[in-house]
Amino acid sequence: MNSTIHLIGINHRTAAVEIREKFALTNFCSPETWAIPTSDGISESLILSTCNRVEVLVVGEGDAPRQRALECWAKARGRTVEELEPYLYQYKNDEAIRHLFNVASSLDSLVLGEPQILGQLKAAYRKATQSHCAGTIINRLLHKAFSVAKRVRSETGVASSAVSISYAAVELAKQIFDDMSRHNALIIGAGEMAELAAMHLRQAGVKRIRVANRTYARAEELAQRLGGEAVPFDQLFSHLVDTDIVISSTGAPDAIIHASDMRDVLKKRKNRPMFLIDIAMPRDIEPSVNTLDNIYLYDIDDLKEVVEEHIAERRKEAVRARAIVDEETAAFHQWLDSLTLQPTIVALVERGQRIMEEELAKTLHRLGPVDDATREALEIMADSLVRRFNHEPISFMKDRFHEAANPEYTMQAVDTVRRVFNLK
Amino acid sequence: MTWTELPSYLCLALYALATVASLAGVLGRSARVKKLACLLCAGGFVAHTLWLVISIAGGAFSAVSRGFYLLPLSWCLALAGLLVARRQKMDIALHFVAPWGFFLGSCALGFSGTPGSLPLAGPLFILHLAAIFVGVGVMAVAAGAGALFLWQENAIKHKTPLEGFRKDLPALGALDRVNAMATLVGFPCYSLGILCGFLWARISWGSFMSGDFKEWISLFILALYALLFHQRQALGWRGRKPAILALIIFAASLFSMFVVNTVLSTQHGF
Repeated sequence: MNSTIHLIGINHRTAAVEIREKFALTNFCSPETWAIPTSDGISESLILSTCNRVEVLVVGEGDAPRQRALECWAKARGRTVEELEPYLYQYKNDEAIRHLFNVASSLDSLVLGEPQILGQLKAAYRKATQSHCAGTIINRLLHKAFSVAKRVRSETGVASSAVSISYAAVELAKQIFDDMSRHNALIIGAGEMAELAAMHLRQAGVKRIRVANRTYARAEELAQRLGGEAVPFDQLFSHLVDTDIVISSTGAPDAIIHASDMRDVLKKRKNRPMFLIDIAMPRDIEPSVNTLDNIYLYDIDDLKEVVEEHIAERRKEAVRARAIVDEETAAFHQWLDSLTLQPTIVALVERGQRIMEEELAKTLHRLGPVDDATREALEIMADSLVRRFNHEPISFMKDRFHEAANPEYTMQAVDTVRRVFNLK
Repeated sequence: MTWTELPSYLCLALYALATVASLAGVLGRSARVKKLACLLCAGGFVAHTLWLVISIAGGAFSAVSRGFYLLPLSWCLALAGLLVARRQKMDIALHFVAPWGFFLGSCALGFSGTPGSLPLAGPLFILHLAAIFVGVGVMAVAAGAGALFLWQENAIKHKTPLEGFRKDLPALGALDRVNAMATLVGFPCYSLGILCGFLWARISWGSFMSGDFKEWISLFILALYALLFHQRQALGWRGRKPAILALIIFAASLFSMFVVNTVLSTQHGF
């Protein structure tokens, strides 16, 4: 089999959002609207269309499928190939496989290590299957891509640390409190980032969320969105006594929470630890609060630093992840090469089967009427003879395939077997 | 090697393997290797239990040796670690148990030939030893949790990024809870052990105290234990202070066990 894998696409690095919009295939990848049909040299196809990338994977003989896929893609969006080409990247065989593995492992994503892309790729594969456009190679390639992504996630830290400020705050909270469902949160102010952090807290399973704001109506509004309750701003300190996580983002010109206040609060709550996140500018919480035992205070700069360190860490881990991708690409390449043996093995087995049936018929004819046991014994013997005769040439080809660094040697072995056994 | 010795060697081998696997699992952040370490540690504990049972059946209590003294102590420590790992879902406790189990078990085996020097027997004496071993065993686990707490807390307080395997360590709240549980269980046990010891001394030696240094260090440990118990229960101490105190109590227990018993002249030097 001389199938070639082509991957063509545009992404957040090669094309601005206006261009990606023009060539998005989001509405052209259902079974009814599939943009890249398996015809005219394309034997298999897959479309991945997300907000950050549009990619088309096609399999077929030679370079013709790539051109055909380009034409179909441009046509589906009512554009020309010339309009699309300046933004395009094109990969073939190993490069295409490596790129797909990188995409699945989120090494090619805008936010390195983000988890959504794997789900999007799975959805794209599902649609290709429903559209009957995924064949032997795409099936195997996509399953491999999913397992590579899983391996990258489990063996490297490429996706392990938070890279958004609000999520980093929640991750830090989990390092302080083991079971979030036993802890209460209080949001002071109704800023957008505080709301985002509160959403993450809610997702992390925090027990109860309360919102305090100088304008009570706004507190009620936010509390409703978060599934929490609004509390009067002037009762802030009494609510702090049974609050474990505080997110503060008011527009107050000076600090509203001082170390002396927190000392009293701590005494009343019997030193139970508190995590204070101050994302207001100017800051709402006096920095000296962090010197108190069992209180952990992080301001916006501290969180930014955490996020930057996490991003740097992910980049470092990406190097290890790419080594895994390279290793898996080589393994997939080997499987792909092994497909070259398949037609010869099939021809050899079919030839053996044919000879066995002919010779068995002749022998049975010569013997005349025989009982079932004799017939069965003859059939088994003939079958095992053919299997044993086939074993040597098949092993010969497989051994050359596994030993040979140069595919030429494999092809020579295949050619030898075909000539010796007169296989067409 | 006789078949009765088999559990002791098996126990040490499993604890040693568990220690190596723990280190590899924790540093390499491999969940599979960590799981293997936990299984090896649990296997080590089963062998440890057999070893203890065979020792008791062999009459070790009638001729207390230093080795036998360390055997139930290491068993109590391992049991405390296993209970914490199971109840608190904190596998890290097992990674702490394995090296200590190996160390104390090796000492127990190494000292096993030392003959007993005291006519020790009776339920009061058994209660004295058992209660003290539980008290020290749980405090050993609390000290391990305390050391981790101080290390992690320092990083969080000073905004040092938690990198590598530090991300996998239990949350501060969970580590503090180990300290709370250990104090709650350990203090009454240790107090009971000391009380039984004094009563036994009164019956056997004619006086509650004989001025032995071991008695003073035990009272000092009891006082620290009482302080920890009181401050936690009455004043709501949490976090750093109890963690530091647990480390001090465990260090004092080790001093009492290995320095006082072996270096100084004491009636407890069996």
